[in-house]
Amino acid sequence: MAVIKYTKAVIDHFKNPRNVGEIENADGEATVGSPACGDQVSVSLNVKDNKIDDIKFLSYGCASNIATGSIVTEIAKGKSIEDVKNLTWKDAVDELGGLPPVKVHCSVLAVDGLKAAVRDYEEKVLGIKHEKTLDESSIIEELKSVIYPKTGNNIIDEQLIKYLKFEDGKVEIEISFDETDVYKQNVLEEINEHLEAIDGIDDIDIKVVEY
Amino acid sequence: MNVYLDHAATTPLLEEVIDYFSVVLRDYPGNASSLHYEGLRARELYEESKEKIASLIGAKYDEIVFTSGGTESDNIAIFGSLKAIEKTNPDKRHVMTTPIEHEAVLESFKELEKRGYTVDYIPVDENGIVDLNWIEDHISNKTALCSVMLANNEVGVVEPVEEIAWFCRHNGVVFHTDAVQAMGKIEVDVQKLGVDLLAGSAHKFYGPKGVGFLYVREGLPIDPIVYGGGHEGGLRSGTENVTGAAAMAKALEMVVSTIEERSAQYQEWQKKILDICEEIGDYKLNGHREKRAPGSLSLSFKGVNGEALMAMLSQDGIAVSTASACQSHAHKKGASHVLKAMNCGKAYINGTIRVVMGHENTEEEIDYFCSKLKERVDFLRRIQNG
Repeated sequence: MAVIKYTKAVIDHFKNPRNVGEIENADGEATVGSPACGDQVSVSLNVKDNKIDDIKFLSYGCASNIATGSIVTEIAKGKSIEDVKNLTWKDAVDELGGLPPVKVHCSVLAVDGLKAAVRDYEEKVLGIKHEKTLDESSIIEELKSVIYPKTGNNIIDEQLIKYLKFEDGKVEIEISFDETDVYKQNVLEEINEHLEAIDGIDDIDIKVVEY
Repeated sequence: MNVYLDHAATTPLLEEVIDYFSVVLRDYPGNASSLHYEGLRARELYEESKEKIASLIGAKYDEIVFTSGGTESDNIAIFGSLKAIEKTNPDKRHVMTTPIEHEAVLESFKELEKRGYTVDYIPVDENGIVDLNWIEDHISNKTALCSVMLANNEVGVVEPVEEIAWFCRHNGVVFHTDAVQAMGKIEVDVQKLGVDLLAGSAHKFYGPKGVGFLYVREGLPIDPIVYGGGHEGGLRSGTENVTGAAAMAKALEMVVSTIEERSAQYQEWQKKILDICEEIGDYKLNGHREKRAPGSLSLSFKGVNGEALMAMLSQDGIAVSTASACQSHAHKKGASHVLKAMNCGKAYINGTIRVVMGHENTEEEIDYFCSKLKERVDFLRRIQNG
């Protein structure tokens, strides 16, 4: 199993997290993850002249969860909405000088939280409606947020998904694991969590193909 | 200041043990199975070590088998005794254990399931104590083996092994106990406990890693699972680890002699830590308040992430763990199987740290830990709630 070794930047950010808190009557806010699975991040932000003017976060999570929440708010502060939308979890990881593979999901969660808060701002303040199309490719996009802890890559790039079909509200997935893979259960739970959160998916059928 | 409070993961060797270990390493180069003078010297020391371990746990010399540690001892106990039972009583295909065992036992029982055994997991209450009535209701003439740990590695509770062993004995069921976490913390006497098999590991009682022992009651049918030169009465082949055995015996002798005074000391420190927890608020002490190995605490703080707390305390030079060391490197969702079995609530289960005191700790260290614990829990709660 991977040994968790943090960079100086990660340690600095979890010991002295920046922008901790909650903005009252924020222009945009969002909470992602759930404390039941051990990780949750809330982001609230104010926008001025199309730029992030103020941003705060709260975290219920491990050390890297706190550090990624801190770094993501620091990166976003002062940036334009467009720039923030183009941020990826890799940017957060780079800024921290790297994260252990088993902790990469924390940066995914933090960046997801930031983007969700920006969407909330666009809907609430700008009145932009986000058209949500639900099809196989949007589901694949969503599953890119599920990280394979062994490598730190998402499960799509890792090519673990061998088959995916979406029809009449039902998602069918075939995913392959090595028989002795210790992360199998975690990944399956995480896929379920992500899919269950999507409106329009009523049935999830995941088959594990072991080899 | 560095404060090591993870003595359930492993213990540092006592100074005297290190010295003795080095002397044996240098002065006893022989193979204890050789018949020349070097071999005989090594054999003599090996036998003395075994004699010492035996007398410290109320066993006879022939009842002790030296192994590579707790995991191997558990495996020999479980698979070895079942192998022997299979020959004489092939119908006995039912085995029992608890859901709060160490992986060395749990994974062995999973393997038994694959081999067609019927496996029952004895439920534990919210204090982590096994249900004796449940055992009584589920034991039958098909039951071959029952394995219940003496002291739990995560929460430190001490199980009513004496009662279970008595019950198993009167029902013709072989009884094994994993005493790895109990050795050196509480009195362990195989006669009083009445067990058939008992596993111990040196590095949990200030001895070296890579050496342990298994107590096998005289006359108990047991077959080897490792074959070779027929060492340890044929039960565990492999060249005798003379240095390890000698250091293990030395360590156990020293540790057992101070159990009482240390227990008293740990009780005081435990009180200090629990007082600070009361001050912190919204916490839970996991496991039975009294029936526990002295110096072992499992503490859950509501709304705090245990992994973050552990990492922060580590930055302060304090070593505690979230669950057992075997699980510390697992993925975030590896919530403790022990706390789950004890029905520890969701709000608490992820906010758990394990604090286990040891010989070298001082009052000053405990005070430092208490102050940092409060500071860090308060801090993490602020990050969560704003």
